[in-house]
Amino acid sequence: MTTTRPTWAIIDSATDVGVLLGAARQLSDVVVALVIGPRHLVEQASSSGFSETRWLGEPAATVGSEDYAAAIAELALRETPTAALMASSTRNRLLAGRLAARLDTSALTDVSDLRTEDDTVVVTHSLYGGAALRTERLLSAIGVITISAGAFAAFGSGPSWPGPIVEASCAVTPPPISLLERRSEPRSAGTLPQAKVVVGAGRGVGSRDDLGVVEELAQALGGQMACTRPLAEGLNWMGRDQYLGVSGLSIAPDLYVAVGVSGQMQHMVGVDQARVIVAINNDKAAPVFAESDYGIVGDLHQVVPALVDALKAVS
Amino acid sequence: MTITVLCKWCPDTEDLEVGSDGSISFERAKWSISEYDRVALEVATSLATEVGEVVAVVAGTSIIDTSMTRKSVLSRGPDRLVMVVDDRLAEADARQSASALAGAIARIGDVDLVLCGAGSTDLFAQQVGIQVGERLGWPTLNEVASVHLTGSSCRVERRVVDEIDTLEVALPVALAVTADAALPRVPGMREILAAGKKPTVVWSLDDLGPPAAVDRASQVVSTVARSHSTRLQVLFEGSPTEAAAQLVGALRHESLV
Repeated sequence: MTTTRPTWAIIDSATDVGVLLGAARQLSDVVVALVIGPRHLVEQASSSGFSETRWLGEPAATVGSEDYAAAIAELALRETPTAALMASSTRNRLLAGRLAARLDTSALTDVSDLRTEDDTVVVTHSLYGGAALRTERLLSAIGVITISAGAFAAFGSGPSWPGPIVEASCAVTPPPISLLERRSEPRSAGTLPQAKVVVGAGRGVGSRDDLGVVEELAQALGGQMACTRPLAEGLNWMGRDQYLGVSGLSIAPDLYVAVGVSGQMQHMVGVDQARVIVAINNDKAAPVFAESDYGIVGDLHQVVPALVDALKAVS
Repeated sequence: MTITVLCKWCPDTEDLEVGSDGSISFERAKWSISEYDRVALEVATSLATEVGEVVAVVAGTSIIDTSMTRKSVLSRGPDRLVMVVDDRLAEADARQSASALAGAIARIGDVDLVLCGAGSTDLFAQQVGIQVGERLGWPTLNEVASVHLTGSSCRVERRVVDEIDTLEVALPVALAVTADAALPRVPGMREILAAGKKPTVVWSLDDLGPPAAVDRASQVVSTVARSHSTRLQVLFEGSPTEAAAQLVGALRHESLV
């Protein structure tokens, strides 16, 4: 069931257009896109099936989508949409918080399910390190919601139906922040979310040198390396952008091989969308085996090289 | 100069117990400072050796009002602690927490810098620090990887997707720092003993500057354990070579190798 009030989708990136429309349609048949970005992004949104596409403007280099909070809040108070939806990026999390404070509500974040019941918004999101799911019913008039990546299917009505574009550029006061330098530093995990095979190292890998053994397995499988949080933060054996779990990346590869990973919820929630999970651990009681399709109990220094040899034999 | 650090006292999610009906309980959980906020405490303490006073602020129900909470926070560097203790903060959402913390900062007065961690270990909504900054009407940034004070402003590095911005922001400012910003200390016995001598004040929601929000902005309908995708749980035994061969066979059957 949906409400008669419109729902807003705040768009500042081309990758979010279809997914935000798909999510917003769970709440309302009337979905208005508020676009912050260049003309081609507005045109992409307008041909994606929104009821209306509003162009809030193209931000200058020193301004981010977060700086539109005051303008969007003012518009929201005037028009009372059901909710303003956005993706869960760094800038959008900041925008959501600023918008929520201005609308005196609490942002609902990383939402994986959305619906309306009796004209009120009901959302579901995970908490406690991914161990639990909470369902909440919004009590404030306007919801501020960030959506969980991958939880909603993109909605597309095809590029043949461009909807109206309304130029609605709003005044943005630049924040008292000066940009001294901007340097490009792609995360090494750039392609990890798309990898078909991922091998994850956990604390059971005794030393930094032993990571080489795990890397050989990743190579033999044609996969990429990832890790649990302690290896990236604290031990610094691997990049902070390579750890999987609740505060790191969530992935959905065809195969995830957990080597020396105990299987704590905080890590496993990042891989539970994998089609097949394999665990190698010397502790038979490690919780990772209950979360895996196939497992080998044993010392990874013996099991992993044996596995690499067996893989080479069949390739 | 006064720096305040927002700390959350929360249950350890690893101690969560799941009932057979999917219900969850923290009854036997250990509580501690949200690990992300420990980074903020470390950043504040390292900045304050140059400039001034660090005040930690913790808000929550009467469960936080213990000497363990005080020592745990104060042994990590702050000069004093402000606790907002009020049972109306049970199951507080980001709006309630932010409104209580912003009210405490207003009452502390003359605060130049507010620091907090990226999110809390239990809810990890990554919202409270941002909403505190906006409620105070200050410039506010998240994903801050380093902080340096330069007189009446501060210089920060902030990661946004594949870019790192170096920004200069006039004080006062509210910053949510990432784990890159500092390596939190493990307090030693001397720091824990010294913590017992540092001052703490306890306020209720009624003692704060602007009136604090006492209701949630949403009603919790249910909180249940996540049900996991059912896995095959096949274990291969024997020598490493035998087990490896069986696993490769299974992976071939799944068309994965």
